[in-house]
Amino acid sequence: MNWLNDNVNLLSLIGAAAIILITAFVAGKYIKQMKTDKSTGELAEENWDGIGEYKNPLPIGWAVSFLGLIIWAIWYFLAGYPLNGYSQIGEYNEEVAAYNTKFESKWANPDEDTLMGMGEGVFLVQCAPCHGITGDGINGKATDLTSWGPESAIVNTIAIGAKGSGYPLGEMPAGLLDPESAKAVAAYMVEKISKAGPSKNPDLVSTGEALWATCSACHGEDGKGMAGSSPDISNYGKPEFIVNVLNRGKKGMIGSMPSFNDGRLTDIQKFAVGKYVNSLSQ
Amino acid sequence: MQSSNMINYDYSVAKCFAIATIVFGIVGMAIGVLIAFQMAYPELNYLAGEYSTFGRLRPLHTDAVIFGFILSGVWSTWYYIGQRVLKVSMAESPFLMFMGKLHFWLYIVGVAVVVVTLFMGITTSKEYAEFEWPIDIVIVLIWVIWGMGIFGLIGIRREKTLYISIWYFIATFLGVAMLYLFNNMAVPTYFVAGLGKWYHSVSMYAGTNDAMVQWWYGHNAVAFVFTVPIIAMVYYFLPKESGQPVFSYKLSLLSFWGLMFVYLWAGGHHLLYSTVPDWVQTMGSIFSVVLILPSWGSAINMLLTMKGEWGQLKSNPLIKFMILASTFYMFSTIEGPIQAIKSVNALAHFTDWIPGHVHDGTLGWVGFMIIASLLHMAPRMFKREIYSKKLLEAQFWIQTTGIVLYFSSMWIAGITQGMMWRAADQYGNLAYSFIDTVNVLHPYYTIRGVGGLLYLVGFFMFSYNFYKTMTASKAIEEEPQSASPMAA
Repeated sequence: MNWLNDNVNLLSLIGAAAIILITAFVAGKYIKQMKTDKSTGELAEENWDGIGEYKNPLPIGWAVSFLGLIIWAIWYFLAGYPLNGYSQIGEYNEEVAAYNTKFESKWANPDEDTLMGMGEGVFLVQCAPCHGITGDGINGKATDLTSWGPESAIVNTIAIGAKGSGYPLGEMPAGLLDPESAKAVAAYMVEKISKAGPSKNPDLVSTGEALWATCSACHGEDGKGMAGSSPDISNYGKPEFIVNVLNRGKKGMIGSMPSFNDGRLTDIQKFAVGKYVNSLSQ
Repeated sequence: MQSSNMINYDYSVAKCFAIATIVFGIVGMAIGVLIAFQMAYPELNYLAGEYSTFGRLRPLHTDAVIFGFILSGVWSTWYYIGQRVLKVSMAESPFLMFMGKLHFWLYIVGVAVVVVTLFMGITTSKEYAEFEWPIDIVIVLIWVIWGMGIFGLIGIRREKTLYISIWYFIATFLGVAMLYLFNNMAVPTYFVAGLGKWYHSVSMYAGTNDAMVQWWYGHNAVAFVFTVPIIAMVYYFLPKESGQPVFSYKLSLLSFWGLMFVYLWAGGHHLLYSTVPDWVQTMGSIFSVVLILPSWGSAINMLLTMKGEWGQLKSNPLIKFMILASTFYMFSTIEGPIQAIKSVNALAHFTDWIPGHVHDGTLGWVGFMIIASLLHMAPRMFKREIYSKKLLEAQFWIQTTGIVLYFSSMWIAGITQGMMWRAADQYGNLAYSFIDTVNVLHPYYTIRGVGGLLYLVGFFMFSYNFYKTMTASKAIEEEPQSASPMAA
């Protein structure tokens, strides 16, 4: 990272140097005069408790600088940077729009590594505060993303239920199936619905298919959620599922995750986060 | 020329305030050192339950040094300088004498109430204006009494022309009066709406307006407590101690009116990139930059007063304190304006660079000036020579080291912090989280604590020196015209 590409950094460092150098130069000049010069001048008539005053003229450098700064200030306020000619919100909006345009074109066709790097960066800023730097949910403070996605997670979800995505069909109750049946459904799901497989229990796939009706009642035969009536689980265990959660937010079992659909992330970034989160359990 | 020694000045109020300066200085700085170390070692928050947490102690630190240490110093020097440059003794007016003593004792009561309420956590939560409305009323009363003292003494003066220091004391009085009254306008909730305790209040201004009034106050509290009365001190004590006439009357005059006009408009720089109108922010930045010159005018005037007097600078530690103070004043008053430039503020705001800036002004300029002033006054008030020059020399170097450690660590910490907050990876994500900055800053916080501790040690040395001067030093027969007598 090049620190000096940032104008603010550069100006601040120049400013810091200027503080030291200008003070050292000016104070140094006058301290030198203490060593070499002699104080002279015409004394004023008054004397206060033994203190006299010279009627010396203003130091020329000081007077010129003061006058110059006053002229600059008037010019800057009225003409250089006019009262109504600037808006900080306007400047912000312009900068953000310009940045986003540049971002979209620069990362229009990201490769796998780019997506992972970008996703990790976003994750550390936006997700890690709750889900932890490693995504482990910080001892139950948020969903443990390192166990999200694989077949075993489906079994777990059937056991504990799910809620808070705001779909018309509402909550999924806990314990819809007994543990054995849940395992079979999970095997069927990863093999045939999400095709995120292969399943660890290929022999259970046909049993799972027979039990699928419990799920398809809400999620549809194809798992796509019956046109928005319930979550699309045909992409469970894939980045697209994460993108959907980011867009909708989730008032889940543990707490509320806000929607990230407020412009702070671009579509590419959301997909990158999906990629990254998906990689955590692998 | 009439000798000032012919008038028998009465220093009883000045002495009271001098002792208050030392006591509040020790308390305020000790709390400061503690909270500095709390930043590095958070366990120190729990030394005494809720009463030792950073949140409780921080306003106690700022208020104890600003309104305890500094104001006592200002008043001590006022009750000393005022009589001498106006050529009138307080003893000549029993009324002024009474008002002076009332001023002191009412102030002590006010401080006691402030300390208790702040420890209890009773606060308006406005920075440097934490006191609830009943205390504000007492403070206004104290201020009015001081004002009557100033104008009363001016009214019976023998010296027709007012010396520069008097201008600055008057400005302090008027400036703080105006700022304090407007910023502390509050609605007592119990009496208006039956809510909260009888002493609770909310600000009379809402939202952004409250912020603007608050920083108009906060910034100018710096102007009229940290700057204006301290210039009053340097204009008296440096020429007096060195026996050198002030370099230029014109420069004094232009710096004074420049400072008065420009300072009051600069407060908006505390609210850059906030919800206050853009033109207010820009105005704050512009006036801040212009402010460099009137500030430097006074400092340059003082440095030029010492033209050709290198010998005194080498031999007299009081002159050393005052010259370094003037230099720190220059340093601090160019630092502030540069931090007020919007593009620099984008980095500096909310970082440790800001307390760094405040402290090179307060420790280097304000603290050194008050210390030198009190020690100049001591031989004249107590008719004894300063107890130990050696101790004073050692104190000078220890405190200077402390200040350098303080501001250099805060500069590095602040700029590092600001850059880390801004840093982004190649995809535009923030590169560091908060805890990353904490890890990096930890050593600098420790160095800052050590710097503060050195300054406090120096202050103890000063207190001891002052105490011994007061009680045990060799008596002097005649008041010296300039350089203060001190034992090796």
